[in-house]
Amino acid sequence: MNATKKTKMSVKKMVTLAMFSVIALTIFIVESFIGPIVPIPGIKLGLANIITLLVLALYGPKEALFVLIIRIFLGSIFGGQMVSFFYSLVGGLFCWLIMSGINAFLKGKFLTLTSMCGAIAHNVGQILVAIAITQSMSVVAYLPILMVSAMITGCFTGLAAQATVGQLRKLKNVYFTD
Amino acid sequence: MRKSESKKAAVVGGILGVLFLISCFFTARQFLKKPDNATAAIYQNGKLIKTVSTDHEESIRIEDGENWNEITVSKDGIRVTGASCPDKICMHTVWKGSGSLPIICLPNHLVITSLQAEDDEFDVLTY
Repeated sequence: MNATKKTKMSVKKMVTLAMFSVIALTIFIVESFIGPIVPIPGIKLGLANIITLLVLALYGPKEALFVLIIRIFLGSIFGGQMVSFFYSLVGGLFCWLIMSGINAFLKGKFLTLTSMCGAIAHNVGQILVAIAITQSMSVVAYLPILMVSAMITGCFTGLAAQATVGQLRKLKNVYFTD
Repeated sequence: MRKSESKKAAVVGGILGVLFLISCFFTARQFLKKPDNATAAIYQNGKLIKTVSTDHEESIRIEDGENWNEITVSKDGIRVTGASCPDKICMHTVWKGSGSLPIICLPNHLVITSLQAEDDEFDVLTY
């Protein structure tokens, strides 16, 4: 009985993660309608990352990856750009990897710092894909400005997640537990 | 326990702070640097398509299957004036010379930047 409980995701958890995925997808699509804030390739607010951060803080890396992959996959289908799928996927995986590491290092606290590190990793991943796609190293010239923007936008998304996570942790004990 | 977490946060914050300052420095240098007159090169899929100089006016259309970019060359610099890509981000950057940020159209795999040294040698040898 116990083994089954451990390996299978409970319906409650699955529904909660699906709900988080839908929220992330909605934010992602709304942000894509707003368009680029600065006319520089790669710079965006990355508001959907708030949800990845929240799931990472509330559940853990595995669940955050689940929500991230669903959001990227569906986001690319609804967004209609196949090229953006690779950028989002590699950037997202880099972001998830670094955020999971930093979150474990900081024991789930200081989400703003975790978010900033994740945003940097996201942009580094995107630059690597851009180098592979354009086959030109000159894309690296964008790295400094992307790093600055990543730290600013990452700070805001991190603050938003930090402000929400406390309330959600209280709710989690009531509604989201397995 | 709490103290050690704060220390760890200070380390991460410190690294981020240093990275931020370094990035700001390079970004500022990039924007403040006066671009030198140089020959621009248009690359698509990593291949040199055309070299252009900003000493004359010219309109170029680069096509790759269904994808296309219209490039206008003038004394003020090089800009993309039309593109088939959905985001049109490439149309907002002006290349004014070496030191300028390259114009990049990611959906069309197009890069406009200074002529790379190795391509320059290649051109001299070939033509």
